Amino acid sequence: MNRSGRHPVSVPNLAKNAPSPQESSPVPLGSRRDLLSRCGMGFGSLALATLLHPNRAVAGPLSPRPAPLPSNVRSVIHLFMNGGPSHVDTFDPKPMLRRYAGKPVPGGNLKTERPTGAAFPSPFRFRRYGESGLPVSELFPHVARSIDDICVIRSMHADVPNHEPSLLLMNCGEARQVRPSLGSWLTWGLGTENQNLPAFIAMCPDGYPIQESQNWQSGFLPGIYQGTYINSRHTDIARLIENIRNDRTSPGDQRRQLALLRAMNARHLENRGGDDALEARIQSFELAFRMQTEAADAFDIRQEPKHIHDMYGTGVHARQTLIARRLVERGVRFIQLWHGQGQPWDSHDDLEVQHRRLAQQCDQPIGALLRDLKQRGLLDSTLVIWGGEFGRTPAVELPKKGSNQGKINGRDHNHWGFTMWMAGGGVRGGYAHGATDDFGFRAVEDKVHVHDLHATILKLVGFDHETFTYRYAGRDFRLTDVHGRVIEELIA
Amino acid sequence: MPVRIAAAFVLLSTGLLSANDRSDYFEAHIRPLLVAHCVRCHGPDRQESGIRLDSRAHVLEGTDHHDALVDPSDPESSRLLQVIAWNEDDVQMPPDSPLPSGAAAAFRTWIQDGAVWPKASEFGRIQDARSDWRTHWAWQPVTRPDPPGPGHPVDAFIRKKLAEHGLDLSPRAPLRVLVRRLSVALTGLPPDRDDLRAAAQQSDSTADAWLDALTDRLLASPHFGERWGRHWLDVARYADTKGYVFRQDRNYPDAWRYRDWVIRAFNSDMPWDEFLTRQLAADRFPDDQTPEDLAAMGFLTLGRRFLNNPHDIIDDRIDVTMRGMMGLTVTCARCHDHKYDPVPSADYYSLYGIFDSSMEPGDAPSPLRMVDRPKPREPVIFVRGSAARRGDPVPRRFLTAFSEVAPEPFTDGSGRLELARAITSRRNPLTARVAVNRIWGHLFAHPLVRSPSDFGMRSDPPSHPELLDHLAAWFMDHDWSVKRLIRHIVTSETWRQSADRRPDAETVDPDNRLLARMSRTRLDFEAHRDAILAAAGCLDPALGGPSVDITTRPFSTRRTVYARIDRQNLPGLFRTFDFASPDAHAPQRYETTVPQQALFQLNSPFILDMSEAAARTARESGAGEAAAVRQLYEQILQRTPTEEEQHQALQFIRSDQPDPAAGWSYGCGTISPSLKRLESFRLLPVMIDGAWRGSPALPDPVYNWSLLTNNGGHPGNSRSLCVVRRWTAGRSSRLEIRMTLEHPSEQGDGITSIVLHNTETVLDRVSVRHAKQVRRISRTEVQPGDTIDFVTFCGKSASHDSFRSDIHIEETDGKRTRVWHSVKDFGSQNAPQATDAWTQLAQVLLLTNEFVFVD
Repeated sequence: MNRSGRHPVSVPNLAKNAPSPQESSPVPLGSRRDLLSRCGMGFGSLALATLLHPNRAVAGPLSPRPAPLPSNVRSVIHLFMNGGPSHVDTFDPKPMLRRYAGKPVPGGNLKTERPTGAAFPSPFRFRRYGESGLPVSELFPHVARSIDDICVIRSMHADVPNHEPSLLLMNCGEARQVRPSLGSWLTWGLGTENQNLPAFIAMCPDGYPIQESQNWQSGFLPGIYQGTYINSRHTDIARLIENIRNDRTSPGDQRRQLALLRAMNARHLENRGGDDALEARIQSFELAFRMQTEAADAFDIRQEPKHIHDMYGTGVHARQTLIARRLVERGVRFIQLWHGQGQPWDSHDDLEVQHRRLAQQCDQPIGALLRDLKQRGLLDSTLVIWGGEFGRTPAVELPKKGSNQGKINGRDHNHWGFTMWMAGGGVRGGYAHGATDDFGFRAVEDKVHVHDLHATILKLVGFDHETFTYRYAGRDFRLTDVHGRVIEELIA
Repeated sequence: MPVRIAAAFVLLSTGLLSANDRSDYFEAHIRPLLVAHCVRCHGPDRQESGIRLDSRAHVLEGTDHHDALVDPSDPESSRLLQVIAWNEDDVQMPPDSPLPSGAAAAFRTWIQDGAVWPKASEFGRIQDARSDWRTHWAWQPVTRPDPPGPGHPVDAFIRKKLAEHGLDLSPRAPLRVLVRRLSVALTGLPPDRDDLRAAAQQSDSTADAWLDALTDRLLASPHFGERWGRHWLDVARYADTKGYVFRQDRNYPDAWRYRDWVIRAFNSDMPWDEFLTRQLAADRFPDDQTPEDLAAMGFLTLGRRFLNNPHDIIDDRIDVTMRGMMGLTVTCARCHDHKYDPVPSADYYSLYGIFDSSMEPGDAPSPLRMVDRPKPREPVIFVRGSAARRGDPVPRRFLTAFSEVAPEPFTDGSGRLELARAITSRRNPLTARVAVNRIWGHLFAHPLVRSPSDFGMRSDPPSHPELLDHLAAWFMDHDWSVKRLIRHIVTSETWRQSADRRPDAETVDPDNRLLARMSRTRLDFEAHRDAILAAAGCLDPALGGPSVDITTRPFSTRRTVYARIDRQNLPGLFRTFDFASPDAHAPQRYETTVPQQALFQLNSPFILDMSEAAARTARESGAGEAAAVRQLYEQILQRTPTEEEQHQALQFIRSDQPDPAAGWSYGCGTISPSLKRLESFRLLPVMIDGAWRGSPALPDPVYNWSLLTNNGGHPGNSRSLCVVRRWTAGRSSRLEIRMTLEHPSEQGDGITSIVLHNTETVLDRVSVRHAKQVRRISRTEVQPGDTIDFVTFCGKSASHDSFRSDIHIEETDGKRTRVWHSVKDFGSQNAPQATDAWTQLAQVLLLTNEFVFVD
């Protein structure tokens, strides 16, 4: 499926009955005839082109393409709680921890990155929400309001208790080697609905998470499928998107430049009797000119009414989450929102204070996002994914030289069992899948490996993870490598 | 040899999968399932129930024991589908657990599509694959086919294939086109102006000899190595950093020494076999042990570090060696025998042992060096690629499928030198073919074998097999000389033909694989940036040296091959323009066309600076406007404009009506403690209620009280929050400035204003408190892009510091006088007009398809 008729490596040839890009593109690229007449070319060359290439149309590498399997999902928002939020303090209550507070966990502790000690009950209270009655801790009251739209996966597990490999596994399906990220796979597979905005946007305030831009790398896929990083701390559009603004040439002058350029390129094209590559480049300037206004508009949340601002709250998380909704409305394919630079959720100590602070920053915006998408009728077509690269131990972390500073009030990394949730996009709302053991150490029931999550996400978006492949270095690569199974229970 | 994506034609009326696609589907989805789940019990060793799922006949036609297992006419009745469905009331296969999800769907799709089972794939055990490989084209010894006609052998082979389709080569391209084509292909630079002039003077009788001489001169140019060295650096996944290493230093500060070694090797026309050998075993050339010589081993030592995981580092080295030099994908065999090619896991670990027996003793003079360990390590197979599961021992040796090249285990230290000898052996059927295919691809946009780093069983055969062998043999017979091979190819009529369209060939050969014309190519990232620098008159022709950052101002004017490449966070600029990913060996560049490229060309400070530089040269030529237009065309497009173009350009220049607000911008910044320099400047982000400011909030958390209005403003509360009204010059001119400044409040300690030219030259300074002052500044000479900053800041206290200002700038350039007025020009566009019409015209020429494509 990775071969188009014309080029050895190309966009996926997915559907037998792929509609014309012109039909499926919500942003009119301009028909061939428009383009030619704008270029000041006569009908003669148009007729020539049509004769030579009947039933064909120019399509770009990011032109929208239908998924091979039925799916309503048009966009994905991945809310990445980097550092690893604690599941027993958020979505996976463990009353047994209270009973064993301060005592050893029966059955012993599993090996994680650092030594851990006695059972550490959650300092946060849980309440049941919604018709489903699923429990959510006091850290996420706004998210909890949408619990009936949320599918909580309590039996996630990964491979190792370290940030770097776990981040790569969660994003790219492989812990060490260079592989494309989920967002790159999807933009390669589906293109994007809006040619005036990047297809895949990774927002993180103040800098990179650890492992940096490898988290949104395109690996062996073409570089245009890599995530565009945006430091959401900035408010000036010129600092958000490279080269989006020209601070030395006025828009009026730029229009004059483009008119002259168009005339010169049209003459050049005509002298050569037409050429797809030449035409594609001519079009790209028209697109770029439009992108300048459209991108500025997409990131300008000041256009939102007061009640929306009130709903999302204030601060950088409110801003980036609200921008994400505006991007979804405009047809951006994949948006990843990182909680912050480095590994903010990594509460090795002062867990109560740190988790409360972190949740306060993002709970209201995320809750608002879910309700806002729903009220706009966008939740069905938007898959929202929440979680970290792993969870945290139910046992308290013990002090160790160089870490923990002698405080014994935090939790270590835990890849044996943790929680993620998904909402919208055809997932089964108000449902909790799988379980960890009585203490929350290890996933035991209906376990879901990260590969399984990927397989399920691909299914939701319309791909069979086993046949969605890219030929590279003599092999057909998959996001799930040789692993993964679709967890049908997660799908509505 | 780019892989073009953007202009891909998508067939709208696609019917069923093509025969090729269907056998691909079998290979990709069906055979792996059969091999993984079925043939252990239903294959060559055991035939439970008399069934063999490794046999086309058994499955498609049935045997005496059973009917056909699949039925394309009624897929659901296929017995195969029934048993894998795992229904409770039926046989359940495989017996232990159901097939993975998606497997049933894959079988169903395959059956519905006709159950195509390629003949070559009639086997079940992976090892059996190797019974087929002996007939694969790429493993056959290189032959010396006789050219099927007179004249240049390349033309004879190409013409023969064309004639089979009733076609012939196109006529030769005009000499001027060939000069540019040659120059770009051989040096990556636009042609020399003198050469273009000389070309215009050639007659038909002198053209050939002159062109040959030009070819030789370009091959001898030191810029040849920069161009062709860069092609190899894609193969070698060159970068200046290690990738992600957490908190260690991530730089390879000496990576450039390898890059320079490669460039020198191409310039000195080092024979290809030696070129490869030195990159694997420069430590074994006893007479050449200078640091410069040893830098050749950067090929191995400059890969990604994978958080120092030794297995991944070795895997990367095996990959870059085998795909880069031999077009073999062997790293699949890290976990299991190669599914398609004759590379069992044991072979992978034989190679692993070679690199595991080598170490990096990099020291100050020779940081990239690799040597053998004092005692070689004996490799074992890691079962399923897991170092924890040690399997059978294997010798260090060459690939077993190439036993005629190097049959014996390696005994000389690590075996690296023996490996290099085996790779460069004349008996090795791949190395020369892979090399000439890459070179052909760089010269023609498409290689003869579409997958230049995979000549394995699943690769497409070459478009011209005999030509490929001719070139490979010719290459070896001519001392593996890259320069001679390139000369051999570019002196053919095939290479010299026109790129004009050939409507007669387009239906049979839309991709131009038969070469009825030359393919038009787009300048790649390096050639594009170099051409812009050259057109602006800025290109620095210096050779070699440490890498330079090309993404920040002031922009480096070095050739792009010297750019610092950060593997971990490759700047957007590189990715946008399809630079080869430095993560791993890159067989081919992609060629995409996306608006981000256009945005860079429209708006980036680099392109604007270069356009300004180009325009300055033309403008300063002193002649009139018409002559300046001609000069600009000469400089950028290397030709004179047509009458129509000349007319359009002049119209463009003359109709320029600058936007009145365009000269002003509104920001805040930091004034130095000496009060003589503006240390920073940033634009105030929003305009609300007629004032540029930080946000709706006052004071704003970042910008404090900073405000600028049409007739004044308010400074922030410190020296680092001065408000700055900036005027930017659009042309060379002389200024007369009059400024009225008033501090109207009767309270507070007043304000200070400083007027700065280009942030560093103080033109005036004045403090006012409860008063009004009028200041004049005479005769300031400015160049386009120069700034005049009117900086205002508070005293000890920022209370009661609202101020009024009114600034007139009279701008004269001898011909025109224009008056700028801060109150009248005040606007909501914070977009200073720094580019003038000439700069804009220069930019348009740099943006044309004519500039970026080579016919």
